[in-house]
Amino acid sequence: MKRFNCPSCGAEVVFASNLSVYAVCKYCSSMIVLHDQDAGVIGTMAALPGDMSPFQIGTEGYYEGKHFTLVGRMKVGWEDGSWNEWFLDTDDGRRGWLAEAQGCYAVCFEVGPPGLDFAGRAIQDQAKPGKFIGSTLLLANQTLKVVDSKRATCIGSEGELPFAAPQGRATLSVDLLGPHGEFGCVEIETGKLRAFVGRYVDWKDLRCSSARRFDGW
Amino acid sequence: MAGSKVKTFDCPACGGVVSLRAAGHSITAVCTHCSSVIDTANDNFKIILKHHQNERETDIPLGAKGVLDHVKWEVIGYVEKRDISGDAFWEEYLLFNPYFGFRFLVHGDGHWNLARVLKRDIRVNDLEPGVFLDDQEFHLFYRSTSIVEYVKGEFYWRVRKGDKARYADYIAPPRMLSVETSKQERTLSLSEYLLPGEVEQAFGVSLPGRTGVAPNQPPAFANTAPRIWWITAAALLAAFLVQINIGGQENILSRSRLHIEPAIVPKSLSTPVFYVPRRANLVVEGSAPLTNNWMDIDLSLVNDNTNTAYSATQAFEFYSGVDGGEFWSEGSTQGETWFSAVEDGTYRLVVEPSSGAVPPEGMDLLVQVKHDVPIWGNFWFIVVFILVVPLYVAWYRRYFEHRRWSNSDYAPTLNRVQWDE
Repeated sequence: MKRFNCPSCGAEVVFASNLSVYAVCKYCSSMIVLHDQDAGVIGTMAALPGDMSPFQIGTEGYYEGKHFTLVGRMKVGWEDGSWNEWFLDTDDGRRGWLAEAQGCYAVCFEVGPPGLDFAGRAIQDQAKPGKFIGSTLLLANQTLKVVDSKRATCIGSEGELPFAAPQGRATLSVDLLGPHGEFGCVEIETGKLRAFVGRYVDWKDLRCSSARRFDGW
Repeated sequence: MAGSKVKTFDCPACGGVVSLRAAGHSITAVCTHCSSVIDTANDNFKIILKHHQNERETDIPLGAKGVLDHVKWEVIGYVEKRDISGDAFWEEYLLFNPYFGFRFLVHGDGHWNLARVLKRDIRVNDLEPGVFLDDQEFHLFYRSTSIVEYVKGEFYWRVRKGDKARYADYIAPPRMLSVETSKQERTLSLSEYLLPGEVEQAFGVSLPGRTGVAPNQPPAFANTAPRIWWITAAALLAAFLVQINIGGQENILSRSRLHIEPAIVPKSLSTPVFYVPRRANLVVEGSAPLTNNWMDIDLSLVNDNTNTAYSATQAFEFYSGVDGGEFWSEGSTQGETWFSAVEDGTYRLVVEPSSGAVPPEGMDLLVQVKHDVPIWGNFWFIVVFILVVPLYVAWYRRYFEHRRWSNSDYAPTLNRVQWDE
C-alpha cells in the first residue's frame, strides 16, 4: 500500500494495490498518475453516470475461494450501452478484474496476450465483418470462442487502476466464451494488447460484503 | 456514488417523465405516456420510434415486485412475441434485481417459465435433434422465427415492434434450452417450468388457466409415478407372499392305479383309505390312457367314519388323427375335480367308470388326490386389482407425452403414434 497526497487538493490518496499507477481523487476528482515515486495530475474526471451496479469501491468478495477487494472501476461505453470493469486487489497480487455487463458477472485475470494476427483480424472485422465472430482462440490453454467484438470508449473511472483511464480512452474489446462458462477478453489498444481469462459467476457465488444498498431492495 | 433513487428523464417526444428502473443497463425504454421508443444508451435520449402503439394492460403490471426462485424481482419490461407462422403467441416479462441481474418470465397458453441467459458456448448443430448441457440431453422441440408484436417498459438491448429472431427450443422437462439468433448474436437461455399458482402468489395477481401441454411441462404424475411403481411392486410381492404362505400347503394324500376290466355292467373301484388332516380343499386328478375314446367316471369321496359322501363326475375324451399330413387331436386324457372345504377324517375315493370301449386287456386309470391346493384364481384377481391404478397412470403418461409432442415437428418416434381422441 502506498499513500500520496493529491497534488491538486492535498487530500490523502491511497494506492491499495501494488499494481495501481492511476487513481481518481475522491475529493477533487483529479486524475493522479504515478511516475516513479512521484504523483502528477493529468486532468479532472467528470462524475460517472448513475447506474444500478451492486458493486462499489470497497466491496469485498470471493472467487474460487480467494478473497478480493474492489479498488477501482472503469465504466466503458459502446454503441449499445455500457459496462463496468472493476479492478481487484487480491491477496496473491494477480492482476484481476470483475466485469459487469447486462446483469452478468465475470471474474478474470490477465494472461499472456495472443499473437498480433489476432488483433489484426479483430481490426479487419470491424471494417468488414467476416468470420471473426465464431472463430476460436487458445488463451491460457483454453480454447475459447469469439462471441463479441466492439469498439469501446472509457466513459469515466474512479478509485485506482493499473493504467490511466481518462474519458475517451478507446479500445477494441473482444469477448470470448467457453463451453462451461469460461470467459475471455482481449483488449486492443493502440500499441497494446491485453488478454484476460476467467469465468462467469453468479451473484451468490461471489459472497460479497460491503455491496451497494438500494432503497426497496 | 450516485444515489439509489430511480433515475428519471423527460420523454423527448411528449415531455412526460419516464423512470428507468435499471439505470446503466437499460438502453431502450418505451415512454409510459406516449409509447414512443427511446434510446437510453446515453443521455441524448433519441427517439427511435414515435407513438406507435396503444397502451395495453398486462397480467402482471410493470413495477410489480415478486419473489421467484428465492429472489425478489421487479417487472421492468414486457415484450409480446408471435411465431412468424402465426399460430403461437407468447409474452416475455423482463425481471430485474440489482444484485442477481435479469430473468425472463415467459407466458404462453397459461403456462409459465422462468428463464435466464446462459453464458455458455454450447455446440448447437442444426442437423441434430438434440443438444447437451452438462451431460443432459435436450431434445429439439420447435424451430421457427419470432416477431415482436408489442413492447413496453425498459430493456438492456435494442428492441422494437417488428424485430425478428430465429429461435430453437430444446426440451428436457421441466427445463428448456432456447437458442435465439438475431443478426450475428446468439443468445442461449435456460427455462424452468413454473406452476401458474407460483406466479400468482409471487406477484399477487390472478392469471389465465392452462390450456394444452407446454413443451417443457413436467410429465404427468412426475412426482408420484416413481412412488406408484414402488407401491405396485411391493403390493404384488406382498400378494404373492401371502398366497405362498397361507394360500395352501399342497400335498398328495393318495395316488392309485385302478384297473378297469372290460365289462357290460360298470364295476365300482375304490382307492385305499387316506387321511385328511384338516379342513381344506381336495383335488382329484384323473388320468386315463384313452385313444379315440371317451370315459365318464362317477366319483364319490366317502368318509369312512360317517359314510357321508361328496359326489362328482369326471369326463374324458380324446381323439386324434392325421389329416392331410398334419397331426390333430382334441380333448384330453386328464381330468380334475375340486371338492371344497372337505372336513378332516379318513376317506376313500370310489370310482365308477363308464367308457365307450374298454380294450380286452382292460386299462389303468390313474387317480391322484391332492389336499389343500392353493387357489391361484384369487391371486390373479388381486393382481389385476393392484394393476388398475399403475396401468392407468402409465397410459395417462403416454397420452400426456403424445399431447406434448403433438405441437412439435420433431417428436421422438415413440410419441408419433396416432391416437383416437
